[in-house]
Amino acid sequence: MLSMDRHAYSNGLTDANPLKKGAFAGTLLGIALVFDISTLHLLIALGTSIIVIIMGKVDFRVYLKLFMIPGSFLILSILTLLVSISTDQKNFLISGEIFGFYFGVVKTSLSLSWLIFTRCLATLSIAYFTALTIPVNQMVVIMKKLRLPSVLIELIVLMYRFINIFIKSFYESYNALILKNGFADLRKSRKSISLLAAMMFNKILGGYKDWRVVLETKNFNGDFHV
Amino acid sequence: MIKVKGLSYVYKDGSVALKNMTLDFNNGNVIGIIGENGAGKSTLFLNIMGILKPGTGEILYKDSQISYDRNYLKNYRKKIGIVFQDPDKQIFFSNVYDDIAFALRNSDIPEDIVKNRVLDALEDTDLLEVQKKPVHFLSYGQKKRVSIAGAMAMDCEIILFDEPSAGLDPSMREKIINIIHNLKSEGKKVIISSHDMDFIYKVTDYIYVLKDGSNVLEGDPSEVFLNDDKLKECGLEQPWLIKIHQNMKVPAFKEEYELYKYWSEINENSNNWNGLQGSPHRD
Repeated sequence: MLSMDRHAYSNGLTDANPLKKGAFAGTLLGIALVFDISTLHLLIALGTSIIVIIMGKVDFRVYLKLFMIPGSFLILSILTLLVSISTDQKNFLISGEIFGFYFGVVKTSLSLSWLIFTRCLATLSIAYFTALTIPVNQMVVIMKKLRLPSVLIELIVLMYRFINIFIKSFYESYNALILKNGFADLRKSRKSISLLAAMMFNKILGGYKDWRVVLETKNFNGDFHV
Repeated sequence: MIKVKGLSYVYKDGSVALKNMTLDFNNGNVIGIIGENGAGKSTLFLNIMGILKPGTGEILYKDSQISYDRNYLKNYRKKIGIVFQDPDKQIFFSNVYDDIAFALRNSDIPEDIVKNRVLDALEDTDLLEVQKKPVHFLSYGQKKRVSIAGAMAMDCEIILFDEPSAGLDPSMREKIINIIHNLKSEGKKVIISSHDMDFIYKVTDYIYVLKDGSNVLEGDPSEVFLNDDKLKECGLEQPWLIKIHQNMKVPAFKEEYELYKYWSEINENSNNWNGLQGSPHRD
């Protein structure tokens, strides 16, 4: 997440108009969701990927790695959609028999799976285009333009800030546990994970107390003025 | 401007943090509060800020006791700001500019004044070039300066610093020293709590030494730091310039360069003397 955030603030399109970037992503998302044309989906995926890699100057390997995470889930989901089970072989394009049951691919599931697969690719690439080229401060501009409630925008901004503090704090504790051989074997790892969870919980509670004091010193009146 | 009279504070768990403490912050422009961990420094700051309400005693601002009424505190905190030790616990925004502007906006200050004050604070803390950078990409020292800029933008009369030099590299520490010197020259009062004796000796002009919630020693830094026995009793030690002063019988300098200048003058004089007398190593 931190690497995506870093790219969002330092890519070739960072200084481009956030409203134009938002409108571009929004339009493509609409097209990908409304039209059931796989070729169009593939063109969207390819186009946004080219923009992110060439214009956004995001390293191809980083981009590919980012795709691998949801990609593995996507392939597993598509496989479950693709494969059908039946006692009758006649509808299958390809099939195999196990204990009298036929496992295989039927024409309708093939076209449906392909459509879902390409749509997912298109929407994923749009999501990465948004995450990698529009930093959070520009997201705020877009959300304000969309007239989203200020409470929602404040919440998003605060969540973003505190997620980063949480991640930093998590890695500090995690590294401390590694250095103390906390993950040397399965039993120790189990204990360390529970310790880590307790530590994070205590830190959050302690942090809440400190933040409350600081908010008071800054004359907080319930409004974050985002 | 601000005084603490007979202040006592006991936490809910029964631990006594402050015992009948009396401090007059009119004694200097940059005042140091030193003491070992648990001496009561942070509790004192929270009491001064009106976050904690003392059990007994009073906090006087411009000779009147502070009130704990919401409106009073709102105005009071426009005059007195605080910079806490951990910057991550006082920066709420992911954007430097918005975080510095936060307290100003809470005080209903018009946006054009907010902008001017934030830009001035950014310039004074040498942060102009990172104003658009997300806070979590900043170094610890830069985050510390963001939190200082937040207090400076409020244009407070008094700024409290809790451990301002903790966790900083020498160059960042030097930047903080410069910021404190600038605040002093602008006529602001600065109150610093720290364990860094060299830092305190360098920037302050009056010191209070706390032990177990009481004020046990006070005065000019050069005098207070000469009392080595008392400092040791309080779990503290002398700044290195004072140690050199006591052990090598040189004057008590406040700055390192003053000592080097003194030494070079001594060496020059002794060379001149040797030149007149001839070589001291004659056969």
